[in-house]
Amino acid sequence: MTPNQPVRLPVTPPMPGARTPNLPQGAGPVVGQPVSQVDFFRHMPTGGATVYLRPSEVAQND
Amino acid sequence: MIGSAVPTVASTHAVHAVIAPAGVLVDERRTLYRLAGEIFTPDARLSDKVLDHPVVRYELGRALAGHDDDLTTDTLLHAARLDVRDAAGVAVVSDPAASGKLATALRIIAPAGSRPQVLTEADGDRFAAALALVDEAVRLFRRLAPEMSDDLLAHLTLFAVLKAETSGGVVSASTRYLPGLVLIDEPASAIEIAEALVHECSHLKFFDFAVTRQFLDGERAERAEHFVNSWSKVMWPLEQTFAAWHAYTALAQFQRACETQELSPVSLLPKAHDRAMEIGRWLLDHESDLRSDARWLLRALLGIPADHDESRAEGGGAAAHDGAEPPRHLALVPGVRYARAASGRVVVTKAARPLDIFWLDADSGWVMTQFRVEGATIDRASLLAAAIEDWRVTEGVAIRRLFAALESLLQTLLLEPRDEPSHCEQEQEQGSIT
Repeated sequence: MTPNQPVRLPVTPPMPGARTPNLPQGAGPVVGQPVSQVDFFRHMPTGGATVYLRPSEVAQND
Repeated sequence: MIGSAVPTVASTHAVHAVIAPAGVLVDERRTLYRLAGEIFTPDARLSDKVLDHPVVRYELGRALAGHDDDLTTDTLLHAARLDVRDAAGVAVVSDPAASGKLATALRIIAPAGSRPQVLTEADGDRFAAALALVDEAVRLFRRLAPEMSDDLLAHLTLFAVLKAETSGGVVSASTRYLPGLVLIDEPASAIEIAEALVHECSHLKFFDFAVTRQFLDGERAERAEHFVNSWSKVMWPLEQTFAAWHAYTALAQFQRACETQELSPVSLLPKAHDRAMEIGRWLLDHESDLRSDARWLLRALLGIPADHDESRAEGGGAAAHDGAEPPRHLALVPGVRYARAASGRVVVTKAARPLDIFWLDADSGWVMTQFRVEGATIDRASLLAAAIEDWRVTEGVAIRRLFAALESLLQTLLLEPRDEPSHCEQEQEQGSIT
């Protein structure tokens, strides 16, 4: 990508037989926030896992 | 706004690719972890394979969270030594010592009162049977949903099978602490493994979005209202709610590809659409707690037009520049490190404990890479001249884009104003940006 191209990335060309994308009209993702901060490592919630348990095991937490 | 019928929206892989194709996303994630490796273990030259390893990412993630006191190159290289067997392109953990090497992951995902153990080559025919089923499942997934499998399996590094007698009811699991790892119970059929791949690899994709794109603001997400689902009454924080919605949306799509398949008794596929809609409605009511890419993904997969004004409001970029002129002389703040991904986006860390991490768009990243020496001062006029040449745009366009980038870099304290340098210094510094 050269600097004067838009930040938005192109949709990958669909493979033969793929469903035709029907993307919503309007803004694409991120018109252009020049700087964005990553918080993923800083704020780790308790637990931190996505676990699918058998229904017989009382709770499904995912 | 959202009906109960199956929405006629784009496939998940097509929507994901608008934000970033899987290959771009994986490369950007590796760029971040490589930069972390260069900071915390400067003597290590970590390969892509090592950087993808879930335990290595756990160690580097801890360091990025501020717990870097005991991190060494040996720790990372030792962590990455784990024997695997191939199953149609998926690396299945086979190492007899795996339960020790993956102890952190097993502890995190363990249901109360259980101690899951990994099925390995030491288990003989049981492992061979499981490996054969995983191989069959990957091929089945690729046959039933080729684009989705390409999109999701790109984020999978390690696949571990748990011994049934130890799994404690786990059907499938993943954890944000060891991204790239999926664990499943000892399987009975290929279709249940394929479903687990859709479910858990959707989470892995979300983790990669979360470290490279604008998804959640950590503090805001922790303060946000929790979601209580109707089927188990469990309360989820926002991050888990979004991750669950994202996975159920993919499962609902996969379900349409599985009409001729006999599903497992614990399959979520028949429930996936209704649950995705339930969670999606709630998220839409709380979308102000999401950042711009997450909001866009939510609306795109729900088939709702994106809110153009809102998307721009948080970000802004060139459109948000308020017209004020940036300082005439600028410098990087001390302690800034950066790396450029193949996409042109640049990841930056700023000295702090824990490190501040930022992603820059192409224009801001270009500005950052003009400062090749820490402490060097660059004057605004030289930057503008270089921008006009490199971007091949008119002066007016270059001013708008450059000033927007500078404004953001100054606001986030990655750049700072400097006094006008002496004539001699100015000549030296101008020479560094050609």
